[in-house]
Amino acid sequence: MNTPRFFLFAFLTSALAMSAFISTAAEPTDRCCALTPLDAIAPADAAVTTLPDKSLYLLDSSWKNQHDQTVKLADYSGRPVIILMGYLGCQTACPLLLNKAETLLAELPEKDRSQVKPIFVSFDPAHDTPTSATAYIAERGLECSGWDILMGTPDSVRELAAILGIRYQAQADGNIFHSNIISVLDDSGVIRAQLLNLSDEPRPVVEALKGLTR
Amino acid sequence: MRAAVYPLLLALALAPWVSAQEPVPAGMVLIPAASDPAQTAQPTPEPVGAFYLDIYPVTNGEYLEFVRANPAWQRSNVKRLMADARYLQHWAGDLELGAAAEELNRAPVTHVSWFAARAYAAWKGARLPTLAEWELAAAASATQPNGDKEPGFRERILAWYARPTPPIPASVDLTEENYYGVRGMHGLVWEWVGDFNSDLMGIDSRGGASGDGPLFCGGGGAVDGDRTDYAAFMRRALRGSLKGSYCLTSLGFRCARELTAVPINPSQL
Repeated sequence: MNTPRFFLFAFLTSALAMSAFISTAAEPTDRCCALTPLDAIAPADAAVTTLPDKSLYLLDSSWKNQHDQTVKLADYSGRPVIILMGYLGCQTACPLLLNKAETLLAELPEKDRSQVKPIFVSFDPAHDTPTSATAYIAERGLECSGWDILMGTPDSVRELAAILGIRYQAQADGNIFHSNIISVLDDSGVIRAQLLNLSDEPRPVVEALKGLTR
Repeated sequence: MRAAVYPLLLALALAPWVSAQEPVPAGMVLIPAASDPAQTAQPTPEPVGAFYLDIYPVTNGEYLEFVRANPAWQRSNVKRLMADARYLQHWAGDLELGAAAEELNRAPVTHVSWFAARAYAAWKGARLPTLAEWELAAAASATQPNGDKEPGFRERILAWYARPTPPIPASVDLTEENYYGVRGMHGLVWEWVGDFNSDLMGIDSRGGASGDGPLFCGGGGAVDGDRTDYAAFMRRALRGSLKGSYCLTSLGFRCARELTAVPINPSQL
């Protein structure tokens, strides 16, 4: 058994792997754009024929995304999703909520991260528009993780919030008080984990996401 | 220029007459706009416009018609996303009220989720009342829009809250009508409102806490409203603990409707 030669081989391979890692890590912008664009990933089982009884995708509501396209929630089936609700004019909790969601994504290995679709649903369809949503995504550098911002009707927003266990109330000054909940959906739209509070331990949510990626 | 004003004046003059022609939908009454938003005992002091409200809560008999016409809402077909396992559990089957049918027929339907209540209202071409609308209608005693001014009004409501829930709520026909002609707002069942999840009971005002926070203890500290109205406080605590799919023994609903034309108060002209 040629032990020294084996060690040399192992050393060289791991060095090679590490240098590959270092070179990608050194160029954060490249790393971001090197991710497969989410929409290019063909979900293997996108056509989920019968949705589970607790699937969010049973909701028939229509939404506008930041590209001014009409989408149904079921359009997101076939991949894990993290979904939260906020509004673009929010100066306090929503940026923290988004940061928290970004942190959760950052905890995932890169191959897993690129499979997760993050969705921000607006509480404020009267003020938030596809144009302001596009600007928001650019300002906050949310393109990399592939955020979609959805705008619905007051009714569909109320309904989705009820399903996600989110409470909100518009104030006279235009602010909206709301709960800060981040939900993880599996590829058929069933809630698998929730971060119920910004200060909650993120590990269960991260683990749930890892379990849902391929 | 001036000529353009005359049709407008004519329209204004005719407005009360025109709105008087709008028939009140069957089974509903008109609740006029709230003059004093504070009387609605609701968290946001927003003005409440005029609306129509069901005289009675929806009964088991009426709900049976709904599930007959909408098989997706029958007990064995309903999606768990929309209604938990207790959905219509007091019925004998999908379309059978069972042995107590006669009693249930005119009793308010319970064990219905918020989604089910919304679907029923939509089927009727109506909607659920908002929290503010419901509280406005519920604030009235038999003789006054603001029952607080009537001795014993709040105490009677609280006395009902203290009584144990009967297996079958009383018939809606046994209820008394309030100032607006609405019946059974208190004393029968709790009722869903369209924006039940706008009640932030349990969430602190910075929006930093979860919706499932303390419900009966400190959670009320962040809310406004009349803290001496303990009955309203209890309703808020209940709403704060609800999820849209919950089906509870003593939780029913009634429908509301928009006015198609807003009546103009002649005194404001």
